Amino acid sequence: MITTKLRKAHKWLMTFIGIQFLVWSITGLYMVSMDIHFIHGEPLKQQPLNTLELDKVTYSLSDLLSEYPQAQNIQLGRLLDKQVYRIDESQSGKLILDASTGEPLGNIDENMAKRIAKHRYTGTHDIQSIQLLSKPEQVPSELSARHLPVWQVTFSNPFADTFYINQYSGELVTTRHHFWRLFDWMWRFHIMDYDDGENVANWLLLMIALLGSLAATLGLLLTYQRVFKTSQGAS
Amino acid sequence: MPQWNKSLHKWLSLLVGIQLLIWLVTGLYFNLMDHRKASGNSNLQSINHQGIIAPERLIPVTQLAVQNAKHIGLLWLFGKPYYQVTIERGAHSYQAHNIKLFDASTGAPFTLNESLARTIALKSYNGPVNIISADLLAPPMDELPKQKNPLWQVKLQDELHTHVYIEPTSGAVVAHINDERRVRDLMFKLHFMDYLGTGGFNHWLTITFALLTLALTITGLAWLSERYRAGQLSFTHQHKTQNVTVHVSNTQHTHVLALDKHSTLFDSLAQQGIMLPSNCGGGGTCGMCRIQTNQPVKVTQADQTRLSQSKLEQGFRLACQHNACDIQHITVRTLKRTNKNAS
Repeated sequence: MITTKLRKAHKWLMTFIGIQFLVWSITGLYMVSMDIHFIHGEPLKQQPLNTLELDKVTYSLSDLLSEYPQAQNIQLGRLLDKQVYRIDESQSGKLILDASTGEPLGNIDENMAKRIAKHRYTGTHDIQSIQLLSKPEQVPSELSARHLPVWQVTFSNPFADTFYINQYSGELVTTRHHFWRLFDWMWRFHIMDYDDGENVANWLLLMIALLGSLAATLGLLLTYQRVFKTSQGAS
Repeated sequence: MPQWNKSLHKWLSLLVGIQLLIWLVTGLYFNLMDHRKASGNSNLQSINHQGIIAPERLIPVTQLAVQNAKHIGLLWLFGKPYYQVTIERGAHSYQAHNIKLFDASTGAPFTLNESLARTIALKSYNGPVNIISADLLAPPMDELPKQKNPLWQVKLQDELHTHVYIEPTSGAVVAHINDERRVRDLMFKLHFMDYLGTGGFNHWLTITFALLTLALTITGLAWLSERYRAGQLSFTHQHKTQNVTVHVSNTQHTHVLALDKHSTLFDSLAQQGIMLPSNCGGGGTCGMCRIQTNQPVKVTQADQTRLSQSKLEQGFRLACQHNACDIQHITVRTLKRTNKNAS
């Protein structure tokens, strides 16, 4: 009887991979039901409200280009209460220049990083810890090494809201909180890449998804049989 | 195991079964796809816009006719400098923004016109190609559903039907959307159940289906654990047998059969060529594979649901719910096509 064979195959396949279906369901449910903008910490970040006061930009772009002819990626913006240029310079690397004097402001120190963090944080919690990450081996898995060097500022709320502030530019490069960290774990389990979650094209996922497709097809055939082919007159 | 669990499993599978298969097949596609091609980047190349200007020719930002600037960048386009003034923008470039361009040597407002958009499109494409059309599209756009800002769309005459999307406020190439990318986007649409075209995956339809699918897997695993406890999911495959006397009432034949102790009577009788009627294939849900015995045998939940009290008292049970080790003597009624002639 074909139904019996289907049922046995479905049962045995699911005995081996049914747990992964549970994992896919739970992780998928978490990822679709949590608002992605919330996950990405957007509500934690105060958008800069202050507009530029252009009449106070007394060090002009002409001055800047005369002094730094190699400057690229020139941006005029704010650093707390100051108006500053951020530039990429072939010799000195990334620089912050005071937009009224042209004076280089140097790297962001711990005190400054704390002030920036508090300024941009929409929450009311205090800073619990702060540390400078500058070497690739210090980088936690939640941060991409391209953001180095950064100040890692962790707030004292239950979800360990964390701001990463670039040491050269003073810019808030990314944030993290426990819901995002959990989301990353959900993702790893969803794609069955348990170390860094960067490789969707892994063999384990391929094998389980192939077997899973087979098991689900058999299940669908069983359902079809039970729901639409009950012509033999069930009691 | 309550009978409603099996019933729920069946009806849930009817609801989400097709989508579950879609999830698996599109998941396989993501596992196997070529990332660069699927992003539409087969023919994409970067454009070097950087130029040189005598510093004194830049006009000061104080002379720009703009209010409420939050941020000003120096942007190069084909070797000429422009001030890119941000008045409002979101966390992502696709969110609605208010950005203006000014010629950095004259201070005049600048608009990225069609001819520049065409040039950018051609330069961003690796290889010779002709343009079919260029249009400034207002959101919403079919091919970029999240986009909330106007974009130049330049259609190219190539085999992959490439559309180049260019941001007028920066000259940046947002995407090459070609047939390879369209396949990926379709797969995402199916995987995220984005049938209403929101461009995302945080919507009620997919959340509802995710919940139903979770219920489907839980009922399935509960069913498996019930089978395990009934001894029908043992990994060690012992073929210990036991002799069972089987009386087939419709043919009036009686057989003594060596049946596998740890299979269901339904399965082991089938192995011996005695086919009991069944619709569900041994799932305990159709109630057709009944047998009768005069021995005291426990009543399972499925027996209880599918057989009347008087039948139970007469010793009727479902063959798919009991193993051969429970019973030594049974009476069965078989399907007509059963061909059991031996002993």
